[in-house]
Amino acid sequence: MKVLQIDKLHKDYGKLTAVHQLNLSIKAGTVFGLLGPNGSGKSTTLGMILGVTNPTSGSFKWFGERGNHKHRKRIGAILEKPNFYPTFSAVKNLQIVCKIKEVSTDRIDEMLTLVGLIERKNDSFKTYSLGMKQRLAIAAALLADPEVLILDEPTNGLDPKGISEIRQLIIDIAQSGKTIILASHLLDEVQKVCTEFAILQRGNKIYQGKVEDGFGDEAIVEMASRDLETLQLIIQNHPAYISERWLKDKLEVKFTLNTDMAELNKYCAEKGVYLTHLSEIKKSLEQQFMEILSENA
Amino acid sequence: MLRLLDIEFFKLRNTKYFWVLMGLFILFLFAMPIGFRVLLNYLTSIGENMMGWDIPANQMPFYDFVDIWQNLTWSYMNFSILLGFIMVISINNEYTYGTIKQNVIDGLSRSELLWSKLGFIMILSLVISVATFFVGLIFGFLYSPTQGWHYISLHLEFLPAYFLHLVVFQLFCLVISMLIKRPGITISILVFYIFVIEPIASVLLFYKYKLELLANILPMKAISNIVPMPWTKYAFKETQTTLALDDALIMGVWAVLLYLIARWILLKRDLA
Repeated sequence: MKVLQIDKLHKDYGKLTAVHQLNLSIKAGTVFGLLGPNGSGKSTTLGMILGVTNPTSGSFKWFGERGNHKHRKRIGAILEKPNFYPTFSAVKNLQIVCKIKEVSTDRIDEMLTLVGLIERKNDSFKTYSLGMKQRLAIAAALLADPEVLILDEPTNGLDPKGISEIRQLIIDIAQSGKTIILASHLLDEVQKVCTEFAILQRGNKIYQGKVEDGFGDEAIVEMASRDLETLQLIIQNHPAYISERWLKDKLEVKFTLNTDMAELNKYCAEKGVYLTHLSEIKKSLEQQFMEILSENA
Repeated sequence: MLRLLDIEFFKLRNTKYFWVLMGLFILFLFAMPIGFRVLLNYLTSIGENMMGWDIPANQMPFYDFVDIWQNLTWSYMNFSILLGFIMVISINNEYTYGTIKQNVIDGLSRSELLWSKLGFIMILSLVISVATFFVGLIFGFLYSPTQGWHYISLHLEFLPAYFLHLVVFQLFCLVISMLIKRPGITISILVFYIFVIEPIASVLLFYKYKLELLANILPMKAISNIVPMPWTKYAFKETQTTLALDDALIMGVWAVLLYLIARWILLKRDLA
């Protein structure tokens, strides 16, 4: 089932185009990363699908229907920074969220425990550290047990400990089967928590795919045997072979995508070469991310 | 609608400024009629007469049924600014802290957001108008030489008029806050406009350019004209003691206009 379907969504700010004819569809249960440098249109896109930014043109559907405020009650979302009433306690802030979403206040304590704020629950929001504010925002987003969770740069401004806590929280939530849309300029973050992702640059979607596939269209394999020269010779005849290069004591070979490692091992053995090392390596996503951005610059 | 009112009242009742400003307003609600009585008694004790006539000052029929409704509501209109401040602070905080945006993200439609504010304005104005009725009854029973329902009910129409004044005035403050968004600046501009700009503009239009109609449709004037100034009648000058249809009409036009502006701002402008 498609949770979100975006059709030719477009936003202009005067002469500046923030989001350009964006198409995107997100299936239920996906942890979807929206990746792009600052100012690439991620937040504008989220703002539009959450009803706070008016699209110039285009449309979007939540749960198969034209998006409106009723759908937003089934979504938990934080945009950019945590927005709360500064003089209210955590509990009072969450009570307002419950009133808006029309759900009972039963889960407030549970959520505050989950994000580790239960002991500060009656302190006013303005006394919280940035990390605590961010965690309260996540508690608020989870409060109504939403089907979809939208997080915009959830680790922005946090210290390393805070970052890892939030990421673990996201991974835990994802395992409960919720759909998550995560916007981030940090590739590493997307790689660690997402299953699928799209890259935005200057409002254009320039790539979409699964995280496990990397961005490339080739598999990179490190191989070694007692006799590297023979290995090099036989490997060049493999049907999926693309190219190879020497590393210090092993070969780095490029094959077409989805080459089976077991099959590769068997192939070498049949040719009389026994491998001492076989490892499929993912090309650094960071490196590829930069490549994609520069290709489209 | 009840849900929307509940949300808005929850937001306000948990703030300090709401109770401070409401407390001040309620204080004035009682202090004004008590204070005026004290003043009249003092003036009498030093031998002052009523506006130059040969009647003791405390015989001035301020609390008389029939007169009391116009006297009270006109006096109370001077304190409406306190309610206006509540509206300004509330709206501007929502913009400053991004909570207006978060409310929408959480599932409130922009229309619901507007109606939570408007609904609250109406309920608050209603409560104050009813409270004014009881304050009037109490002071009338204490000091009015004329008693009985017949006299009480005459000119009760000033209460609904006062209600409308409260609603439209707060609506005006709501729109100004939405346009300016920043609390300190909004309050300064509002106070400067109400106490300096409009009075000057009004005098200029009225006396210098003889544009009486234009002077009467300036927002503050239009919003206050519905209850005409009563004092001059105690100097036996000609004074309007009833509601005037054209004043009500001008205010009605302002109400519709302000509502449309508020709606336009909230629905058409990005909240981000």
